[in-house]
Amino acid sequence: MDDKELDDFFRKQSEHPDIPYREEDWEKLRKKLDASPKNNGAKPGDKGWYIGLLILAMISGIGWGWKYWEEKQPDAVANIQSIVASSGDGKLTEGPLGITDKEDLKSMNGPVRHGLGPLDSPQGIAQTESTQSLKEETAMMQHEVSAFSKSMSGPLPDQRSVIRAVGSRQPVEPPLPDFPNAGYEKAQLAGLPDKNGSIRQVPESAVKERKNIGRRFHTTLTLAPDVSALKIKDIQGLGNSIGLNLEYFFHPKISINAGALYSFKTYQAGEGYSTGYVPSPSHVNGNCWVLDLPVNLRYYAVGQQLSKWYLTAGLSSYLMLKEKYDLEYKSYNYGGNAYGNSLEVQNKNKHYLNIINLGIGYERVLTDRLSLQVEPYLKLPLQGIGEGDISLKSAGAFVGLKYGW
Amino acid sequence: MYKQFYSYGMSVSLRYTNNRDEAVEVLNDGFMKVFSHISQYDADKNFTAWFRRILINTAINYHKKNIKHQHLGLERLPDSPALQQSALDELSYQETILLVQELPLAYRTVFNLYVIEGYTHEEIGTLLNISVGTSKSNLSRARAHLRSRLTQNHQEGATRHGR
Repeated sequence: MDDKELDDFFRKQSEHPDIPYREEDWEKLRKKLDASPKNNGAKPGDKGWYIGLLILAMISGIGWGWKYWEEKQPDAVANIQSIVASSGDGKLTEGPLGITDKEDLKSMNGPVRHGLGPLDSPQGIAQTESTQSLKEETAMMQHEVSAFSKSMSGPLPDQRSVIRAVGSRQPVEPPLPDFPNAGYEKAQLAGLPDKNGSIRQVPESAVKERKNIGRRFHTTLTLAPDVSALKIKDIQGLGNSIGLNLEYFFHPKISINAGALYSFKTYQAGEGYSTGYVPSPSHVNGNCWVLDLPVNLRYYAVGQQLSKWYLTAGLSSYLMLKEKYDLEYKSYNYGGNAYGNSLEVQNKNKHYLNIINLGIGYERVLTDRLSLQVEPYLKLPLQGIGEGDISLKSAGAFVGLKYGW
Repeated sequence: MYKQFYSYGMSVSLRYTNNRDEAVEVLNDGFMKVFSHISQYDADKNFTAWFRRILINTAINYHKKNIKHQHLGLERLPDSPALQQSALDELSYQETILLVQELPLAYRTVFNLYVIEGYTHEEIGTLLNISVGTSKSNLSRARAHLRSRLTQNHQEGATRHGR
């Protein structure tokens, strides 16, 4: 028997299978389908388990940051609130230490108090008004207060309350957490001493704003060139990303970031890489339009007031808006001729919290509200991405203009 | 669907595996891929050809490490007398499959890909990451082994018949 006869025999035998069906084999498949990740929740050791832990850590971090913030708010804030609570009808209210304004004024010392008459008499007020130094002081203060007038529903504080605040030597500048731009905020809101060392009025609206001091919220408009590939040597073409990022500081150096990026990713893969395709193509050209929804923690590790370095880590969700693939197969069955196929899907694949985000960035303060950020990043998938279940990695550099609220 | 293509799928996977349990595993893995990638199936083309390729890829991946590094026996095969066609006619499908499954993995895979699927040695070399020479050598040894086993079976059958 030669080779041909032998081959023909086995070929012929394989053409007529008669294998009876077994229910137990279907049961095995059914169990496999039930146990597939798509049908199950997270178990210890699964990716979902780690994601849950990360979210728990984030929530804990926010809670801790909140508590830290609360503890850092001294009673002085409440004191200031009661100090400025004097009404506009000339009546004096009780101070935070149980001392009336009148008593407080009587005990005042310093240049502003000097020359003032009794406050509870018209003559006293007139005397006050006639004092040149107080006029200048009052004019300065009114000018400053006018900046807040839009947010104040009532009339500007009368002279008594102004004088009361000027005369008060209360520690109106409590220690504050050093949130971004906090120095500027402190100067504006807390009533810094003027050239003469006098403490100025803090408007009520500004006091309320103290709770949000340091601009906890920031929005960043982000642009980024993006390269995507399964392996570095396969990098081709340049994608891009554009989007918005919302940043919230729950700690002076740590913020939580959430955003939305519209990304275009282009890549190619050679044989053996895209095993998710069935059957495996020998070559793939892929173009994907992705809505990237990142949730990151950012740590401002190093820096001064004007320039900082930070680290970013977190997870992204990819919503695959559109995927276009050019697939090339080597046909082993039909003479070895390569043939191609195109594949396009829309809004089909969604990968929730499936991509690790890593970045290291530099921030430069431009004005009191604007900063420029540059952040090289890396995005690593935890699971296969897109229709082909490919391990699509991305890298690039975010360039962002950040605005503090 | 599982019932409909069960027999066909098993006939493919049995040839690439060592036993029935492995064949069922490859078959079910293949069905899992079919279910999860059904969108990639071109309805204008033959489903069985697509399914067959999935099964072959699955079977090759199942044994990929072993195919390349398996220690190969059969370095010295006994010379077998001429085997007549009549001897082959007596074999059932089951017996044929058992003969194929007896082959070492590397020989069996090359034999199946070349003889049954129609791949060239170059294609097999690329698919299994082996040289063309190795592919040819494995095919040759697979054939020799099968001849030997068929002859042996035939002789045993003749002996039983003579008693």
